[in-house]
Amino acid sequence: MDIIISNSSGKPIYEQITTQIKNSILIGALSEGQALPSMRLLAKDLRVSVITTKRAYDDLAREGFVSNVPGKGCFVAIKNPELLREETLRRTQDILQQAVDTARAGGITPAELHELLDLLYEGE
Amino acid sequence: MSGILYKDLMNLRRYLRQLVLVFVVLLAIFSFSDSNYSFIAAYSIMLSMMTVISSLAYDEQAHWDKYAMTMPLSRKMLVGSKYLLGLLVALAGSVIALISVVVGAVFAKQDILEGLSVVASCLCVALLMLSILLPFIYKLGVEKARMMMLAVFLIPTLFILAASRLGLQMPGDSFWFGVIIALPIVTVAGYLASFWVSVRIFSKKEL
Amino acid sequence: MKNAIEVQHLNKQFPGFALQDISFTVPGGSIMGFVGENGAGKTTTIKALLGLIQPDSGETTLLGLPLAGNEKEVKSQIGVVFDESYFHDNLTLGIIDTMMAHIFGTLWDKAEFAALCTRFALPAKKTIKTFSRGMKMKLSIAAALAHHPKLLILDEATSGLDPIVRDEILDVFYEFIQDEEHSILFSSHITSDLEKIADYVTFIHKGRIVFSRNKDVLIDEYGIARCTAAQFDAVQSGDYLRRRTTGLGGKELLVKDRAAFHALYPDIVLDGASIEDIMLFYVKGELA
Repeated sequence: MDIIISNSSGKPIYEQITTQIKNSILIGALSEGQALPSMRLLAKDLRVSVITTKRAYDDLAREGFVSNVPGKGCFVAIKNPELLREETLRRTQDILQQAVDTARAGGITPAELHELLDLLYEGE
Repeated sequence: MSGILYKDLMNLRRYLRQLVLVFVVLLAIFSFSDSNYSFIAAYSIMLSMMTVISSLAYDEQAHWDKYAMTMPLSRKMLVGSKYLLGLLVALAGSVIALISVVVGAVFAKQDILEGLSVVASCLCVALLMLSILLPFIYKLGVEKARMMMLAVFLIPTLFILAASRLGLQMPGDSFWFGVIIALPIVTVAGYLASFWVSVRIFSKKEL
Repeated sequence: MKNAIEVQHLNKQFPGFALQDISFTVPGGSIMGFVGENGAGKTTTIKALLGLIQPDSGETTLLGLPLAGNEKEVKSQIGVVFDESYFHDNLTLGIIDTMMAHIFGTLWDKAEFAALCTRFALPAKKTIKTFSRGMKMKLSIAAALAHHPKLLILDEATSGLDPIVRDEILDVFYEFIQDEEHSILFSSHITSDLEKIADYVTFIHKGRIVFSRNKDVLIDEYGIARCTAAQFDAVQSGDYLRRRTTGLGGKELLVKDRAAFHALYPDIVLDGASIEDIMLFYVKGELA
């Protein structure tokens, strides 16, 4: 499993872990039922504290991406299409927020923004 | 306690070897002369004192006590190991001296009884010296106690010298005879009492 | 799981210095970083924990047991490393191995000790006198780990070591903590080591505990606000913890919740705070 932590990204480390694991699940790099490394092992490999990895795993479990089997570990949960959609929506919203902030700061109107969006969507 | 004793002996092994070698060589030379016994006396007493002091000095330098007390060892054991060390080295010195006495008796017609009693007395005196010295080391540390050791040696020596200068009467034979009988008992009692005192001092010490 | 270490209201008076009302808990299976400047009381607290010095008042437990009456049992299950080497000059690895086997009995794992010494590249036949400081430290750690303790107590065990050796040692600690029953109390003023490995951080200053918190919270939530004198006038004193004045007349503020602070004062520059930053603010900064 590939996880890269950046100490200067400004995002809390547990969030970076959850984001990257979610990503791996979404693109299929991690398959259903696959075992994730133990919290402690991950902490050691990433050189972070166990509380960080525990929080990441707990968050992932809460959101339904993984399931915690006591005594056995953490496994990728069965892919739920609703979950996927929700996650993708969330991502898109974050990115759009950035676009909106930029546009607003530069004085671009909502109408111009909509136009741009349609253009881009059709363009690909 | 066996672990600590092992460490002390191994740490001092070169030192001990030297001390013993010197002892044996000098004994071989002096075995056949008349002034043999006073030499045995001084040296075998020194042997155990110097060994124990060196051992405690090494401990101090390495801050060993602090570390030892983080392991499953009691303060009593730490103190006990030093008393045991002193006893073992004193006994070893006595055995070497005994061999010399026997050699002297067989080959140089020296009085074996006198030799044996000298060795026995020296053993007792060595242990008594340790009994006085060890509590001081535990209370004051090795450096200050070294000075005490000098005093412990010098004062009786000076007293005896002064006494003979001033023409004071030395106590008669019956007095000395009484001393020789009482000595082993006093030694054992003194050594045990000293151990008890040292344990009490060390138990209160902040490491 | 029971707590690895519990300290409650520890007090100890010395001429010129005192430990005052020290209380903190190291949960089982966690690593606690114990930070403070030199002389703040880290070593004194640890010595009081281990019974090397007698506290004036207060209670402590190690692995759920008070030391009094349980010394042998507790001490067989802890490994302690101080910042100096305490092995005599003329000893060798073999002698230390034998000595420890006598002291710990069946708990001492000769194979483990040998494996650690090999890993640390410690020479088998040479005397301690020839060891460098880093080697002596590694030896102390090997000796602390080879009887499979449940709790490691490290007092400045990595100070004075170069980064490469520290890294190797940190690896060993990470491995130690793989077992959930293992805990570490790690006192250090090298806060970068703690930022990586610690789960909790306890900060002691002039004999008092300033805080004892989850490390992630400290790193993720605390922040440093950098503002001009004008901006500072607008900031409420309840919104920050400590302040320092910069050479240019502006102010730096230690903030407990940077997300909240940013919401209140979106124009003020806000950075994350390292453990070292937090320490400096508490020691040198003024109260809000």
